[in-house]
Amino acid sequence: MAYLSDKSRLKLVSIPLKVKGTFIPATLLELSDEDPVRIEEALTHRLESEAPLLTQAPIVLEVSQLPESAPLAPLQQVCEKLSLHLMGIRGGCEHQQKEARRLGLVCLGDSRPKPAANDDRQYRAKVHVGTVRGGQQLVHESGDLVIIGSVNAGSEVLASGNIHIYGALRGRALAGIGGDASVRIFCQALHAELVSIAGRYRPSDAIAEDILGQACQVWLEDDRLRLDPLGV
Amino acid sequence: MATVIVITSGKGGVGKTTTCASIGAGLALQGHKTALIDFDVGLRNLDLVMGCERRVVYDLINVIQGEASLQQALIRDKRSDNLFVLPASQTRDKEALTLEGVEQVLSEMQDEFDFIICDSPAGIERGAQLAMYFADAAVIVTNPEVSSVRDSDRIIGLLQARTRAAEEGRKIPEHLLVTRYDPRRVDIGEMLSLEDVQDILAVPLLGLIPESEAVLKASNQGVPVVHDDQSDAGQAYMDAVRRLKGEEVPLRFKEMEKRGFLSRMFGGR
Repeated sequence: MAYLSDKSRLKLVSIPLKVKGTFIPATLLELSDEDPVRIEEALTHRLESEAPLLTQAPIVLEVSQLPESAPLAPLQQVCEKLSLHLMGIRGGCEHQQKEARRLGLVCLGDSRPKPAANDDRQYRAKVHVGTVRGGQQLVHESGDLVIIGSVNAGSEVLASGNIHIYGALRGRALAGIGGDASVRIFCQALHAELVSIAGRYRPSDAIAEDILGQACQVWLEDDRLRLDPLGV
Repeated sequence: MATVIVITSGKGGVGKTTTCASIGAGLALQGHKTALIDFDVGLRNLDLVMGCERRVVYDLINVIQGEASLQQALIRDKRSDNLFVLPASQTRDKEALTLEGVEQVLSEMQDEFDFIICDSPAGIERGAQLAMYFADAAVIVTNPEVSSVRDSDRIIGLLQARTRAAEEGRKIPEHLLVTRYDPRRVDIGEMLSLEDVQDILAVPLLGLIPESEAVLKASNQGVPVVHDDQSDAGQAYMDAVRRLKGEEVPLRFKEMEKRGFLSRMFGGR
């Protein structure tokens, strides 16, 4: 970016460390019992058979199946006694997470994927009610754009998905701005200054006169822009 | 509390000042105490159209800068005790017009008047935006002609984004006033029809003012055309004033006048 001067870039180079994201393997230990004695017994038994998984990688305790009152300190002591590298816990209530932090452990969030409905980046339609006036620009970068009204001369509507105009298109409409060539533009009356699908465009003077004023769809067929009347 | 109405258009020369004068005079004729403020600093015209140019002593900028009181600067209309004009400055720098200053002047006038009509300069710059910022309603003046309609469209976009009401999430009533309408030229396709204009702008119609020689005559004489109740333009402006107050008034002057046998025989318009 323009405001990042050379000086600040040089400074970055001279910093004696680098920050990088990574995934480091850890062993997840799912506990279904809170009794440290029984856990120690079971762990000792395990260590005799498959030691590498438990002794070489750091360990994360999955505590979400334990009762909320289960203390963590005795579990940490068991790990210490058996020379296991306990790194942190996963899950647990607020109280347990607080205790874990006090013991110097890391609290990992619930890593199970959230339902798709909560995903902000989900493909959604945006609905605009009213006329889009000259000088205005309406952009929707993650889905369809629906305009209940006209798009007037001197205005511009852009969407990564389809564009539906329930009125006249007198300005510019650009669909598929992310490169999606399968999207279309629909309008009730075509008087566009320019239409474009995924970068293929047609200015007003290249639009056939016999289609002007008609309800139309604009789409790409074999990478060629087509303007066809809608309806029967 | 006064209702602040901005008269705006985007394009110049479409009849903002004529409309401001006639709507103001019309409201005053109906008994409402009305003030007209000229926001066109450097190109003041409202005082000429109102016929009070020879009585201008102080102006809007003088009031904003505290060099004159509002009472000193407001000019009372010759024909109506209810009507006052606050002229623009012809000599001062446009920068002297500030948002705070305009707010102060308007708030001082709030309790004095029923209506405050702001005559916007052409364009979409500072002066036009200041004239519309505090408005409670807007009259958009448009000629039935492509560039005028396009500029009005742009102004409506600004009205919906750059006013105090818009910033508070409110929407002010917008009124479309089509001026210089000539049904004869619409018929032969030389002029956009009223339907075309309404279709593009999608704003409720306040009035339709026919092209009329009476308008130019009235401007030159310094008498708002609304006083000329014999003229079609004067009657059309009065209709618009009544609609602005919420009355239902049928639309006139949209069709060509039916000419009788005699006038066809002997010509003349």
